[in-house]
Amino acid sequence: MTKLIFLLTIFAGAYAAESGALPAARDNVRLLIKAGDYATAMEKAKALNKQTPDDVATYQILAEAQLGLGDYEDAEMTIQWMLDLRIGKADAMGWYVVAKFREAVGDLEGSLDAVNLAYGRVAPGQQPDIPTLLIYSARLQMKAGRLENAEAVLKSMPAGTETTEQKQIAMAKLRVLQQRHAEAVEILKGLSKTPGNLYLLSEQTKDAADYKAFETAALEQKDKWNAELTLYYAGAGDRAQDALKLARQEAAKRHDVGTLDRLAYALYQAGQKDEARVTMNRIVKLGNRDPEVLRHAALMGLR
Amino acid sequence: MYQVKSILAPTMALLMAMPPGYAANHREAPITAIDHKADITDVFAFRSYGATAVPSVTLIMCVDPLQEPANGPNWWPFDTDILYEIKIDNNNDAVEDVVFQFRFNTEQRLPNIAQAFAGVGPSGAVAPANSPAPVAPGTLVIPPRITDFNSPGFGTRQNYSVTMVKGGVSTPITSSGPGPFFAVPSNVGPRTMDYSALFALGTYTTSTPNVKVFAGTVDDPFWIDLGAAFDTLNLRAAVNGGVLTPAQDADDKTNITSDTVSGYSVNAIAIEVPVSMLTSTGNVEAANSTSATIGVFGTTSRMRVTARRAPLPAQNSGGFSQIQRMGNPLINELLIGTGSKDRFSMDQPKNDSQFANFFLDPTLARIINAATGGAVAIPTPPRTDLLPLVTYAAPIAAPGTPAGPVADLLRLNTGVAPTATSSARRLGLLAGDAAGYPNGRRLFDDVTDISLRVVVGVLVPAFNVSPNNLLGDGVNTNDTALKATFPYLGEAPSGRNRRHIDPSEPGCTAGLGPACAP
Repeated sequence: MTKLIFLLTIFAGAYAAESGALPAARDNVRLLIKAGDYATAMEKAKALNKQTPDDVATYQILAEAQLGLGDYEDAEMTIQWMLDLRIGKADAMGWYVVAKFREAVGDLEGSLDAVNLAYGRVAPGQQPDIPTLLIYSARLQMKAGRLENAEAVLKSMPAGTETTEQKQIAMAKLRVLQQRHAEAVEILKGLSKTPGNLYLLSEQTKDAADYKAFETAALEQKDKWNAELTLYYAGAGDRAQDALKLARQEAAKRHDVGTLDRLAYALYQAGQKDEARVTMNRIVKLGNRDPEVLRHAALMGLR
Repeated sequence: MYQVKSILAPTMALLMAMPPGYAANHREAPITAIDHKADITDVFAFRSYGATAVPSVTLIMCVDPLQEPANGPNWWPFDTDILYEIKIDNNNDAVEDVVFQFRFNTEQRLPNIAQAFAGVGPSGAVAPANSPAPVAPGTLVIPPRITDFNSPGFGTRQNYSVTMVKGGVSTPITSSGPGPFFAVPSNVGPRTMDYSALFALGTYTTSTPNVKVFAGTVDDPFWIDLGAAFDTLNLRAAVNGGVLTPAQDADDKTNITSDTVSGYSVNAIAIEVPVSMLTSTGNVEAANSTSATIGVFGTTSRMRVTARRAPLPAQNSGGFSQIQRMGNPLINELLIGTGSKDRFSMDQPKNDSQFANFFLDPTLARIINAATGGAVAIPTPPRTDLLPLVTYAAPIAAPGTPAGPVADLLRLNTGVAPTATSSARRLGLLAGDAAGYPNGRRLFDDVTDISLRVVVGVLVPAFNVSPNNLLGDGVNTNDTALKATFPYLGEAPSGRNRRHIDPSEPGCTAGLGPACAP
């Protein structure tokens, strides 16, 4: 009788192939998320999750895709599984995703808690890194109205990161909230001329030439800057129908807080106030407390 | 018993037990490999075969595997952060209808002494005449030997609560005597404590009629040649590499190979309840009743961190997150893929259809088939012969019982009377012992051999042939005697005198008889 010896080599080979494939597949999903293709990212992440339901990192990217799409209920379930799988021991990316979810549902304090937990678990060479977390923390502090805290956080960023553009952008936004517009403009003028930066600048200067420069740059990159274009057209651009067209185009792809907010705003500016309120109510029910969202909600008489 | 046989007879020919496996469930999932306090090693459910006033079922869940009894100074307390639960489905939907919850509290009664338990002699030891100041001669320094839960040397003392949840109503189960339930500690050694006395005192009657409870450190009631099994099934030559001779197979009392778990202890919670408390009808059902069969599983849970903080409305309600569950032995350990073990551990039995591929085309069967060059033939998937293990089906459940969803539950036909220990067989149902695994699971059921055989198809008559129906590891019985009455568990080995019986060592069977095979 032959001994019952496993064919280790065969199985080792199979496992080796799997272990190499999973990180590559996750990276592919991350690229899709970075590119804003949340729907494809979510489908791929779901397939990965079905294959390897114990892989915590897959829950993270699945949750990120769901958050990007605005599928908050699904995201919450995904995040809860992720937390339960490593009860009390989520890593930096895990807490970062928790922070994003809590921010979306209006729990800014809980989001800050999660960011702090992520900060204590940052691993070398992995995302999120320290500057990313600090900038995010500053942004949350600003949303919570604690501008001094936001300033302190931004000034605490490690050496070598002081001049990073993301920090400068955050600092410019802080200066706006502090009513120090001239400083904000000075910072924004020093940034690279991306459509996003140009939009921020034009919103401060209210200069037609700046808006034009933004629009021209944005239109050169098809659909990439539709969020900013929507806000511009619905506001200073005074082209509400164009804004609504873009907003509907984006809402067909996703329904996260930002997308719904822009759709509601565009609808309102285009005179479709009932639909605007219905749309905005979806965000209000979620509990989101983003000041810009609240401002739009107030405009529509919902606050 | 006659009635039972009448139910089981038609299928007895194709019977045998259940899921494939090896070392019960000791550290089988990544999540419990790093959280051993929450690691469920075994779940048992059987009709009580000791004297009881009414037909009763004993439910046992063991946790925290491979405890070295000498591992002081803290030994092996229960985790006060864990919610331990034994759950019973009685209406075939794989969702619990009756739950017994155990929670523990710890007192440190001797905070200035370096170990959890201390004792010597009937009166302890006092400071001698030459004791330096400030300890005056005659001062008690070492407390007397521990003989009960109030002994002064009982430093780390754990009490526990038991709650029955039924129909959404929580009912505390309290001691019939004064005071709380105390957990029996590790058996530190004969000088320090009278462990047997503590074991007896820790076996409680309760204020609920005919309900008894026990919690404490006991002998690990699993037995297996673990080292050989996990050396990629490198079973020993004395058992022909895993195929017993008919004589070896027939001897339920003798070990040929060493029980790797010998000399180790484990923490156990146990409860004995009337059958009528468990069935959906509230009656003792006959074995041929479609209401007679229950499904049992144990869980361990910890407080969860929620995605959404309180007091915001939470989609994920409930304060606990399940760390592990167990129904049948070895399902998670041997069938579920490594990349799914944590999810399996944390999910609910009713959702087990997502793991159906693991059940119905077990990799282990294919491995044995390949490794033996086909000498061990196996059935063609889908392995519907394994369905009795994961659904309510004959030969365990009576014909007509709703099968329910695919779910890892330990199914027990409560109408099947217990087999007298003198005629009970380690191979349970496979040996015609209707009260044995996989009809529930008793402490002396050899689930390793049963599972090995079932996974290679012995439930199918064409595969119930040699060598399939002689597979085994050569460990046929436990190293420690089991009690004849509730809680049925064996006493924990003492830290001072424990013995791990190794290959080639004499006394392979509970320290007696011939040496173990090398």
